[in-house]
Amino acid sequence: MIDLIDVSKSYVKGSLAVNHANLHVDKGEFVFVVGSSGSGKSTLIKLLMKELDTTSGQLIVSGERLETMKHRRVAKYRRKLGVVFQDFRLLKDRNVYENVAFAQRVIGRPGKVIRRRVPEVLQEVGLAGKDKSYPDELSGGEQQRVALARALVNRPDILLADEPTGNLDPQTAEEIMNLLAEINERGTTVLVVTHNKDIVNAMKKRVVTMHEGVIVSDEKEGGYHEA
Amino acid sequence: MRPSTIWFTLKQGVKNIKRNWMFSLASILTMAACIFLVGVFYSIVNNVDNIAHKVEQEVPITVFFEEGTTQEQIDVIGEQIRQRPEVENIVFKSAEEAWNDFKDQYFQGSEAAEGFKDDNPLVNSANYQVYMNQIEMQSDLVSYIQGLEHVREVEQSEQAAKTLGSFNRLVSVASMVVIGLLVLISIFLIHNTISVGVSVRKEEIGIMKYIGATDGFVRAPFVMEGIVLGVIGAAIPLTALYFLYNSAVEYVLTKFNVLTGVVAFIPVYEIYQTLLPLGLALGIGIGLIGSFWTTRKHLRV
Repeated sequence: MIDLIDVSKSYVKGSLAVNHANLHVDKGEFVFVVGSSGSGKSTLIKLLMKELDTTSGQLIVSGERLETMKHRRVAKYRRKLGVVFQDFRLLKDRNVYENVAFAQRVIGRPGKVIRRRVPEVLQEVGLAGKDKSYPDELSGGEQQRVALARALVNRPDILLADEPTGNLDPQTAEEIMNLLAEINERGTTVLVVTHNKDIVNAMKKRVVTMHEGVIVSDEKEGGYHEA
Repeated sequence: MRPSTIWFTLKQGVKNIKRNWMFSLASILTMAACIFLVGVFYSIVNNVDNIAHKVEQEVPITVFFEEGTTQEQIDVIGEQIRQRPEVENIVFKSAEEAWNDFKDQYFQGSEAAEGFKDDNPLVNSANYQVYMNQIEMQSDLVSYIQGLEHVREVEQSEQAAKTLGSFNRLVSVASMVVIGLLVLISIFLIHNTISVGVSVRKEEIGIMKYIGATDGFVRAPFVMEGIVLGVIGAAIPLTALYFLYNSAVEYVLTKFNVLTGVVAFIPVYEIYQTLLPLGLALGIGIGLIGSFWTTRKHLRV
């Protein structure tokens, strides 16, 4: 599903944010990417989203070669991904339903499909009955669930989560991670970038550790190591 | 594009306009001023052109013949002139008719003319009055006639047409400059208005891009905003001008009633056959250029 072959990314000449990284993620896997600030985790997510271009190496996601992808193809490619961020990135002037429906509108889904699919996905993330609430009326955990619903509404192949629990208390963080695990069990490949040591250690999933742009370890049922 | 997508785009576009209505209003007003001036100048230039044309057609070229030219030769000349495509009509006036006309005009029945009773002083004044349908061909026609055999002199009264023509050129050049400037200002203001919209919606645009919205989809509401601003900016002056035109014509005719009957103004519906599409195209064009320029600059994520 995801293949990094000797991928490097440098912002300024000389220093590599991602340094000759090799990684293979199978369809349906759940992977944590951990590491301290500046280790290259977020750059990795941006490369996968095609927000940034690789400096060298090959990057293949869901059968598509990202390093040679034309700009006009990027939008279609991104529809295969669901993305959630630490700061939720919801539209404050729209209610829960509209925030989720928005993701279907921008890819031109017909109204009938939207009206059926949005309540379904809100149910999946545990937000049934909250569709009329506005983001400011919701707790952090609920806002992240809305963001997850929006990421999942178009049934992506891969869910990318960049510090999804960074703004949440431990209990809510755990709930969100459990939800991500559920989503993964339904078949979506999930890649989570996180700092949350406790959760990583508790969930016993595959853990990829990065340090100064280099992938320093990759363990099947790993734990959080300070590199 | 699906109807729901078009509807979504239109709603977003109108929402943008409302969200920064001050800038939107400024763009609309500048554009309205620009299109209003286009309309005013267009009406003036066309009417003056129309009048010039009428004058040209009503004031003929007069062709005189050499002494001793026979009637047959005159007929041949007449035939040659009539063949020319720019000639509308040609009227022969014999020396006698010329003298009678002259008498009527200058002696007005007084005894003085009787002194010339059997001795027509205008004996060589038989002539053709040539009326044209294409006044810009006048000098060509004149040199053609001058080249004909037995033609002594060709008189042309192109002064009126020439004056009106140069007035029109002056108005055209001045209006082009003013309108050009206003078009540039309008585009710049639309660009500013839409830039504000883009920066207000930066977050939303970012979300749209990573959800997988195409450039076209992200751009569409802003382009729609430009078009809506353009249409409003054109509709206001076009409506105002429609009513003002008739009042202006009426005003000119009462103020300068000497013109009544001499000058015929073009009816407003005839002016609008061109001005309406022209004004709308200009408004929409300005809106499109302004919004495309802005979105190209800001929306490549």
